Amino acid sequence: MEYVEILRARRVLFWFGLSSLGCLAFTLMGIYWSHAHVNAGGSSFGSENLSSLVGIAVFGGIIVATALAGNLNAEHTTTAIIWTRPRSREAIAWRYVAVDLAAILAGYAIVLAAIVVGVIASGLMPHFHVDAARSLTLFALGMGGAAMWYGLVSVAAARLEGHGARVAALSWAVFLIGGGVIAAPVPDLLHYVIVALNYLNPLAWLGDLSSSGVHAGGGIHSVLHLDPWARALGAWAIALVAIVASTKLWSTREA
Amino acid sequence: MIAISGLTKRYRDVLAVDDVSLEIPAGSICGLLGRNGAGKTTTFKCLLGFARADSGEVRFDGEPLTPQTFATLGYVPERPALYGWMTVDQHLEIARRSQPGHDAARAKELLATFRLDGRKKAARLSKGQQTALALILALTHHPSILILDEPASGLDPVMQRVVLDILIDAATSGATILISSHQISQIDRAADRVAIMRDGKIVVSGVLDDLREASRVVEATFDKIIPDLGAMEAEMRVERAGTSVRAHANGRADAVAARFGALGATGVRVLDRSLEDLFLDAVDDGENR
Repeated sequence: MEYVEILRARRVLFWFGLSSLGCLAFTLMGIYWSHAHVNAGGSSFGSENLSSLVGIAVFGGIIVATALAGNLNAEHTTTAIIWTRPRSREAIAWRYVAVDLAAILAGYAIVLAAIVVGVIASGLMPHFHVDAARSLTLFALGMGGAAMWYGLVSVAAARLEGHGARVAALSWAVFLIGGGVIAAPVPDLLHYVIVALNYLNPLAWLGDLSSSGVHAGGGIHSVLHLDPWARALGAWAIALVAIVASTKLWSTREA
Repeated sequence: MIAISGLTKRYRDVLAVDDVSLEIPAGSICGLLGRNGAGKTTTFKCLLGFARADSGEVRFDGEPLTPQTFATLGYVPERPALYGWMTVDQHLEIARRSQPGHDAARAKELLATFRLDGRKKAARLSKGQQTALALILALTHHPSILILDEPASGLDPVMQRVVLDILIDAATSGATILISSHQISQIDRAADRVAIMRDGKIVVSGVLDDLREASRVVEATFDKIIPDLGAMEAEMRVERAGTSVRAHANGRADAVAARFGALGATGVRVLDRSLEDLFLDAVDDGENR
């Protein structure tokens, strides 16, 4: 049955890849045609850590995650096909999840590749240095955040038949606002409630993944005062719990 | 073989399926009839595990339902469950990948029979073609158990006949078939057994020929007045109209006809009743009189 999800993921990745390619092309055209080329040898552009790009690319994974997270829920109209196969419903659900996580990884890779190509084409590559350990941390954290986003949308939509896409779209507003209001001047008690709720916000776990969000010691700013590896593990743990719950809810519902 | 015993399903205050028991032997086609909302689709859902029965038991060839049951079970839902954005061929690919017994040659043959274009998207198929695709998906792994909810819905009369022929062939090969349809003539033609549901209960069930035999009516005409019918009126339902009498013979039509003859009837006829008559009698709740 994962064949259906493979086709869906393929379609999402095709359009996502095409959009990324379009963005890359426009960016490069903008650089060359406006003559506002980057001063590759100038002092205005200091040495950057390439791993920052690994962090930023996570949004590719998140976009693909939100595009796919409602798909198991969307199967409520095709129960007669999907639940009449000689496989347990849990096994079917987990195969869907496996396909989706692979597609999220591909979405991540597409954006990372587009950014790297853009950096190389604009002649900025000599200004980047590679920090393998930090790149790995950001990759683990980024994929954890995307998987957490996927899991939370899946579990929220598991019993809301036909509303998977809406829940996925709404998740952007909820998580962005949730992360934003944390800095709002509110009474202490409300602030603590907001911080507590942000433990279920993938953006809070991700923190500031750009170079400006990096501490001198290599840490990354986040409203959650944990080191990046702890945040990566936390995000993956929440993702796993949410995905297990969503597959359970989906496979035990009535049609 | 499908064996259902004491199946009950309640949705809040509504008793959708009420203590349904039914046995369909291998090689048999059982028609499940009933008005809209009688509980047919809910019964199917409980059979297939789509809905959890509150009580009762279902066994397929002696075994309870497990995922493996679907390796030998084909199901056609009331409304075709298809992926509108996928082509006919892609639907068959699902069957090929997920059904161990998938027969590609059979799928191709059925596509030709129903004149379906494999490249066409499901959303672009007519209702009848969608039903045909749902049927093909249910048949390509040569299931030994078939559960069909309105399998000929939307099909033209020629294709309806094709579907019935396929089902009769499958039953002849030993398949157990449970079929629901509002088109009683289809059930009459294909089924050898029938179960009629009303308000979630099975009110009539059995071998169709036996039910027909049991429901025959004897009509007698007398010259001037109807004589005293003696014990007959206590034994069976008797309707009088002028100098005619109709007796519901309860499977003893010949004996009842002989009794009318002995009472001096000038004319005696034994009337066969159609499945439609049986159905209308069984679902009659008095509202339409």
